[in-house]
Amino acid sequence: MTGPALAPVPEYPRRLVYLGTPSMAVRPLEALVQGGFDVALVVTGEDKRRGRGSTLLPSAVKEAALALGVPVSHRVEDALAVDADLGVVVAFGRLIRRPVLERLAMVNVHFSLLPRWRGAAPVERALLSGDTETGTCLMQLEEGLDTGPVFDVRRIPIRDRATADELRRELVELGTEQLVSSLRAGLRSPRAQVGETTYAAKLAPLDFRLDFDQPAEVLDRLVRVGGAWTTWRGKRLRVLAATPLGSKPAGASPGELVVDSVACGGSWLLRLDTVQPEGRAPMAASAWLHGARPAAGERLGSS
Amino acid sequence: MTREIRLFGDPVLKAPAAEITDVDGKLVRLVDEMFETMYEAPGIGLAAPQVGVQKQLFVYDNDGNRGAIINPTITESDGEWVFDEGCLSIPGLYVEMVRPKTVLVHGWDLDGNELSFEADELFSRLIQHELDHLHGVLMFDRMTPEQRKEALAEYRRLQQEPSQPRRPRRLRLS
Repeated sequence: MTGPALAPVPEYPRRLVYLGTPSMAVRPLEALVQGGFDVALVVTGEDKRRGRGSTLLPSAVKEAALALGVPVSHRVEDALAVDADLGVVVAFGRLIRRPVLERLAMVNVHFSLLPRWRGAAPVERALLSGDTETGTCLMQLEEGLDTGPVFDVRRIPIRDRATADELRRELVELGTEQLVSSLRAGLRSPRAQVGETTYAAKLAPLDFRLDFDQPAEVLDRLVRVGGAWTTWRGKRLRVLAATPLGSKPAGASPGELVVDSVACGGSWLLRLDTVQPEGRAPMAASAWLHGARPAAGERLGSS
Repeated sequence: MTREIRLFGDPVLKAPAAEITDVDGKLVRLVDEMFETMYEAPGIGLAAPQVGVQKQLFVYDNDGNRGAIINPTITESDGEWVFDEGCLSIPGLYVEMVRPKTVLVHGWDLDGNELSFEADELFSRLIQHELDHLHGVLMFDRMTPEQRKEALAEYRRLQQEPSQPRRPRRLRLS
């Protein structure tokens, strides 16, 4: 026998619980409140230590909720206590257990074309793998990871040279519009996800280390995701902006500096545009090179 | 290793299961595989005929309370309880069914110990549902002809539209 069925998604939900945490999830919340939906409660991640100092800071969504005058909780179970007819989940950052979904139906705005890039880092993974198109899906939440049937899909091209920040902003706008207009138009006949499933695992700091044996095109994507780094004379050097260039001089080995560019795998160069040395402010790569004075044949990322 | 779950239409689901007379290594392995299959599905109960084995045995996990029961019988039942019942052999369909609220269960565990206990609400329901499987009885067999017609039509529709989600379809049949 199967366990109890999931609560059915109401066609015209009015009273909502909103579950979201980071800044990406602020716009949809504001749009729902401004759009006249009755947001009875916001559930968000715990306050966290962020940046310098030891004070606990609220999540971006918690701040927005307080500004909007919506009550806030950190416990998912509280969503069951406000007589809501639907939970709306946007970048909540925690799995929602099946017993909750048996009592309150939930939908989720996911930032990829499902079933491609199920999981925590869909925007980053789409950019990293060189996808030319992405989008947002409004789907019903199930206990599986982003497996639910989809009510609505919106697509956008990934522009050449787009950064993850830019793409995220576009997707948030798209997803916000999708959410509000779908809830207004009525949630009907979702479709099962079809196509090849891929998983968007969260990226760890080591994933952002530039491996100059890779083609410049690939490294460029990592820089555009944000957080790429290498080492220079034993210290970290963050690469904030870069441009892949055509052919490199014969004989330049991966990691070697060629004027303001780094030799990469294949016949490619990656031109450094903006860098941030450890403990310093971001600066133009030319300014950094001026001070760094690389010796002939000296390489990035060798230690 | 998981086993294939037999779906509605498979004759093994209509046949009564045989009493188990001997617990051997093969049976223990079957129980392990049934647990794995049930968790993957996911479900809260799975009877041996559902994986093609005509033996009186089922496994369950009701919110952490898990076990395997051999040659089970219901000795007493009481009350009424309404629940949207779903079957792993009829995926996607949920039917509101009324059955006794509490049951007294008798059977044996894998070590040959005699079991006798009372089950209530969801636990009671899953035992009744799995016991039906051991008698070759499916949810459809517990409906009036009109209800069965409606439920079958709904199930066929779910089958024919692979683009339609595995989403609970509710029929009010009581």
